[in-house]
Amino acid sequence: MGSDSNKQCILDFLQAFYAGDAAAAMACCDDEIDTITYAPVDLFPHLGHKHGRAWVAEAIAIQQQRYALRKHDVIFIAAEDSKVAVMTHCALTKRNDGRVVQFTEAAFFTLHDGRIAQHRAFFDSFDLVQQVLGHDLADEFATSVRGAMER
Amino acid sequence: MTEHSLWRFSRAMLRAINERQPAELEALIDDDVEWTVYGPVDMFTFLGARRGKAAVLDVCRQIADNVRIHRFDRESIMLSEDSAASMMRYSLTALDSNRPISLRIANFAQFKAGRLLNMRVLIDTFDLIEQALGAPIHLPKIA
Repeated sequence: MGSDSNKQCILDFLQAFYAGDAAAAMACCDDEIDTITYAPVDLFPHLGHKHGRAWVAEAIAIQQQRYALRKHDVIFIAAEDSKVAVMTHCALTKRNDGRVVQFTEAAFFTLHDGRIAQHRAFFDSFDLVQQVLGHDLADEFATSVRGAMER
Repeated sequence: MTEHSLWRFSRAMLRAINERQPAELEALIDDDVEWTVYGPVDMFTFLGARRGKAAVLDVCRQIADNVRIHRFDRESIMLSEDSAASMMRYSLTALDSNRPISLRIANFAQFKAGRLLNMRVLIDTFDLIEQALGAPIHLPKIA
């Protein structure tokens, strides 16, 4: 498969994921997909290290349970051979209070036979934790971090 | 075959940080460069957005004042003519505390005529802060 078709596969996957079309999103993935999203799993149980494409439907279901609206906008995409990298701006509207959490995610995909076999993603997780909790943690930790860096 | 701009830029960046020699880096940055490292600027003043070569060189100097790079591993790299995306694993030392920090970093770069025009960097910042604190941050569990 060429870079262009791999790139299209990732765009289709993201479109289906954020549209809540689990079947279409899963169709873009290898049965044995290996995925890691680096984030605190206490707060984001659908993230972390997962194996198998059933994860896709579970992740969509959890997000739909928590968020009424989920939007994404691809702001950068690069592809080379079997690899594709995307930077995506995401906006999720929380069901419980209507607030919108926004974050930019970096995702790196490796495809095998035109399907996603490996997925690695991360984002400014501290900022997202603050948005999900609904309060600022920076003040609480800023002094400690600066102090720890100087110890 | 011409070397991709990313490799020249990476070497120059390493030299600017570890050896405090920014001259090569300066030559590889566009005057109107846009630079964003997503993260808490209250804790790490060298994070955040910058515009223009002078501001970017200044932030690189701030990074050099704070950390030393010991090792980096390229986990994933995609190169196209004037852009590059990479996921790297860095081993750093915080200079003031001598505390080791291990970071995974995503870079999305665009170049023009061999010079950096746009750089966006993402870090797993929660992990970074826990490492800087030297202790886990306890969060509520959400089912």
